[in-house]
Amino acid sequence: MSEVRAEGLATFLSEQEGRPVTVGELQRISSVGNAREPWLFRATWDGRDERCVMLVKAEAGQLETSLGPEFATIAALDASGVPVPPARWLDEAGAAFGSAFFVTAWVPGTADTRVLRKPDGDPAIAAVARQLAVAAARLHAQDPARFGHLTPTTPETAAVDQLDHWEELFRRQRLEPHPGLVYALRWLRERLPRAERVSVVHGDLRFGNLLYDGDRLTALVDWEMVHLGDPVEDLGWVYRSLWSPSRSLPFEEFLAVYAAEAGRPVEREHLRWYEVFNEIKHSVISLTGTRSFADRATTSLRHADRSATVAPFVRRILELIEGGPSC
Amino acid sequence: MLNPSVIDLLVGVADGLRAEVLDAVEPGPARDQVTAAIGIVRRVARALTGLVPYLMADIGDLQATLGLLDGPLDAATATCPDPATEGLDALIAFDLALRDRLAALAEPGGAVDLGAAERRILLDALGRMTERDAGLRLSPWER
Repeated sequence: MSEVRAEGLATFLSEQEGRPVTVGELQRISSVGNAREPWLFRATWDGRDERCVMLVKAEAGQLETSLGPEFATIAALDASGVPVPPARWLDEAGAAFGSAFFVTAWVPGTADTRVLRKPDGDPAIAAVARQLAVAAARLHAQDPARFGHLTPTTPETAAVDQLDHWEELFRRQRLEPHPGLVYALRWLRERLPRAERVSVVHGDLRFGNLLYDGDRLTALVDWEMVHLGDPVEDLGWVYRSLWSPSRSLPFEEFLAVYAAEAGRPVEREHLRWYEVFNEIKHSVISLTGTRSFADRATTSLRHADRSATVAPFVRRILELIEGGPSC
Repeated sequence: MLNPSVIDLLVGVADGLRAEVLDAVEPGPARDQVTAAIGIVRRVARALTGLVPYLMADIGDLQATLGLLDGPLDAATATCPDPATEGLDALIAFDLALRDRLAALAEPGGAVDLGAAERRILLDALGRMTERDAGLRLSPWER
């Protein structure tokens, strides 16, 4: 990664605005994410003074995704009823300091997920989870035609498009055969669902990728896996055990809030297909991290042993295939 | 000299890093690296004690499953390398070759038509394999 400097950032922003922009208080902030390095700074121009967040594309890790679609999606969702940070600037070519980045306005809130582990739940998290269900329904109700920067799909092909994408990644990134995942891919292909409609799918919708302030959901963030697809895909991801808020709000209640906002129920077999699919998806993300380390594309030790996380995902796949309960 | 054993040394390194280094490092990329390193050292220590029994169990199960699904084993599949004379790498390669054969059977259009009975055999074998894998794993992020 190139060195992030306030001078280079100010020069780039001034060119974008066509007037002088000053940058101050630039600092790296901690993040559990891997694909984007977050920075905080203050931008001043034309008497405006705004706290901003800059997300810089990180070195190779779990996934290689470009910033353009992510930024364009956030921009398109402005004033849509879906809470997102206001989009500001994009440097996809890395003109400012050699690495691609984009900037949004700062939004109050935390992404802390430790509260999810409270044994008896938390009323504030229950409230945030309900708002997440509403936000998901509103996201899925957006007109896909407004998101022309995303690859188009159809109700008939939404599932197989995603399955093809992740299976190709699986075959390219795995370091060993993984027969359990191979069988799961076969199981999915034997029962491809038809989407009721094509929607904008966040792709990583969950606690950890949202900001909340007390009992208020302030923003959905981390849009790097956004795509057009089947909205049920997000619902099969949002309550996975690693980040489930089920101690505060049971999944059935979440689905009821979602269905009330969306105006249609979620069909269980359809959901089960995407729950299996999402276990594969997360497995492939982990295998990609291990592959990046094995190929010396990253020195992050965090990725070195990521494939060790695959066994519990396969265990969950087998439970679901055998007819086990959702979430 | 056998004591302290290599395993004792690795566990001691991991314990020492956790007790005296980890909390002295500010949250951020450097602390993430230390956390991951502790996990990897522990996993290596565990692998030293558990890897051969894990592989022998896996190989035995895979041979039995392949025999049920794909008929009698050929000589190459039936003969397990001896880790004492052929080394651990040979044992790992043999296990991976068996897993590759099982994966090939699980592929769409695989050599075996998977009816209900065959699927039951395959799913049971995958379940046992997953539990063995989960037993060997020691992810640093879950402690």
